[in-house]
Amino acid sequence: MTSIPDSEPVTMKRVAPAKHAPPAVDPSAPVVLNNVSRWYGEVIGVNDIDVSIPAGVTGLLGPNGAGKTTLIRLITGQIRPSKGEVRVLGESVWNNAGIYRRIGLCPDLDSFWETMTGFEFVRYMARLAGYSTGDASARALAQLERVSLTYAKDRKVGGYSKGMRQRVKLAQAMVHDPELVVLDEPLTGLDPVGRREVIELVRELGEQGRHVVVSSHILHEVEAMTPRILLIHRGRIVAAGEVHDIRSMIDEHPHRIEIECDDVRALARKLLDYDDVIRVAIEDDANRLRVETIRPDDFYSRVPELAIETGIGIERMTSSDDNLEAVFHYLVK
Amino acid sequence: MALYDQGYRHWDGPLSGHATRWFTITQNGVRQALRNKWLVAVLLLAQLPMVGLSFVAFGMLQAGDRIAQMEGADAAAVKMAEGLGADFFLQIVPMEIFWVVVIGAFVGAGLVARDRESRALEIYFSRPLTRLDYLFGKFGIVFTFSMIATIVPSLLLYAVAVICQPTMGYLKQTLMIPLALAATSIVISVAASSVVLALSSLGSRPRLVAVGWIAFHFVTLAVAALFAELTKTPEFAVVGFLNNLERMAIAFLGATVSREYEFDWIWSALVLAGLTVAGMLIVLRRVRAVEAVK
Repeated sequence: MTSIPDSEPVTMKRVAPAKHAPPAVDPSAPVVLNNVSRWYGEVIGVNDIDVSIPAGVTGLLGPNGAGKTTLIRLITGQIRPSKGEVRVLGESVWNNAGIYRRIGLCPDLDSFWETMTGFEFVRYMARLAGYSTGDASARALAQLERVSLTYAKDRKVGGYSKGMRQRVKLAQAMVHDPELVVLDEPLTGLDPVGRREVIELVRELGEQGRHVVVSSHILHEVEAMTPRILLIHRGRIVAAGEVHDIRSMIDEHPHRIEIECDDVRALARKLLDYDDVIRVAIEDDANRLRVETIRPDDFYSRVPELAIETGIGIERMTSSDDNLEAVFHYLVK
Repeated sequence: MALYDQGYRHWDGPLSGHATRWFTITQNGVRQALRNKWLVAVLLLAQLPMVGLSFVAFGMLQAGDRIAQMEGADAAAVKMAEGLGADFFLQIVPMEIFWVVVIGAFVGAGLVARDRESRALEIYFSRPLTRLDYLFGKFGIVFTFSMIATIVPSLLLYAVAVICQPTMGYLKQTLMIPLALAATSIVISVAASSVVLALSSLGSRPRLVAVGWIAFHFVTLAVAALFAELTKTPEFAVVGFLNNLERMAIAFLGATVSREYEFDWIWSALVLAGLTVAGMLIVLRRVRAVEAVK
């Protein structure tokens, strides 16, 4: 969560008005937030959010501390909005225990029920959702199978790795067959195979007709799960739409690239000949070049050829724009 | 070709009603707690006072036999009812209270604190549960173990006393004692469960809560004793939580009131009722899915 002083309004920057304007709130959408704010004393968690999350899979994207978890807690009724109303699946979610039959939450926490086995934990969650012991056991086994955790079902959760904990949390979120599944950073701590499995799982949930809200601070992770995203920054929704729209918005802005090489001046001279390069600066330590380009794809494909042609040894090429913080830097003043 | 809907279909089988949801928490909590071998040992040790007093009761049986031979069965029954009456059964109560305190530290201290520490409440309250369900569920866990340490030894002791009698006269004379023992056990368990859960909800470190729970008894007993002594007013005993439990036991059993408890039991009842309600309200207030930073 982020404190937003009054003197620092959060505004859209250079976002094409019609194309990128946030869509109107659809009251029939599975998740609807009407003018929702949540503050903790003087700290604002989310600020005046007016958005509807449509059916299917939606990615909630924002840097750490953007307000993603607060928004998820509001959507799942874990906290009460300081202002506004949150409606989920047509019902007000706050203080409505019955709605949790229809919502599955995978929170962002690590330690829980350390002394129970994975199976016992998931079965317990199913029992709390109202299933009989027999049904709960069958469902727990099925969900553990689904998240590839059957082999460790009889091991205590306390002995699970971070990735296994993520998966058992996913299993408990789905064990009662919810219509809306809310996943807070579900890929954290997973190895590449685990990530792929969870990404597949999220897609599968969407294909089954469930509504999924999944948060992350990594663009390509969300992109792998869904093309539709909500961008949140400093407690506000700054953009909503398809990933490619966001990408094109990013592409409208200069893309910063840093290059470390053995002859920065020669490389700088060469780069300045290209139209897409709008700025070249040599860093103080003399072997690093900072380049701004409006066509990063062209630039990336050109640099290796240039290195071969001129014989300049390029040691490293990095782009701070790969970081989501940089994306928001473009979008938000 | 028939086209089948492959979309999401919600479970349309039976689901249990809301009324028993707390029981699932209790059932699971009891099952988990019993995996702790130390707790099992405590529960067994809590039966020792009953074993000891059973020997005393058995010893008195010999005397009962002699009285029956000399004065007849009816006279023996009356005398045995005096010997193995309310005052005899009152002896087991302080020992039971001691074990309830130990169980509170072992089981109760961590029940809410651990959930708060691990943020498990977030998962609990993403289920169709109310805070009242959670409270009753957790309450049920401490209550169950407290009852094992109170009502089980009490009633077993009474059963031993009855079995050891040569006639059924004793049973007729002491019919109210098991009811009084059951009522005492319930009062002890309810009050202790509520207070220990309240303390548990105020902390997030189970060990610290356990220390706080034990300190609570020492401090309230010490303060009660100090004020009662300084002012020569026995009513100050109500400041001590455990004093109130014992005073209630005396009232239920109709046992002889000792000097330090020479005050109306109503005061103890009010204190215990107040603490029980306050404890539950504290838990309800403290238990939130997510703790808001104020």
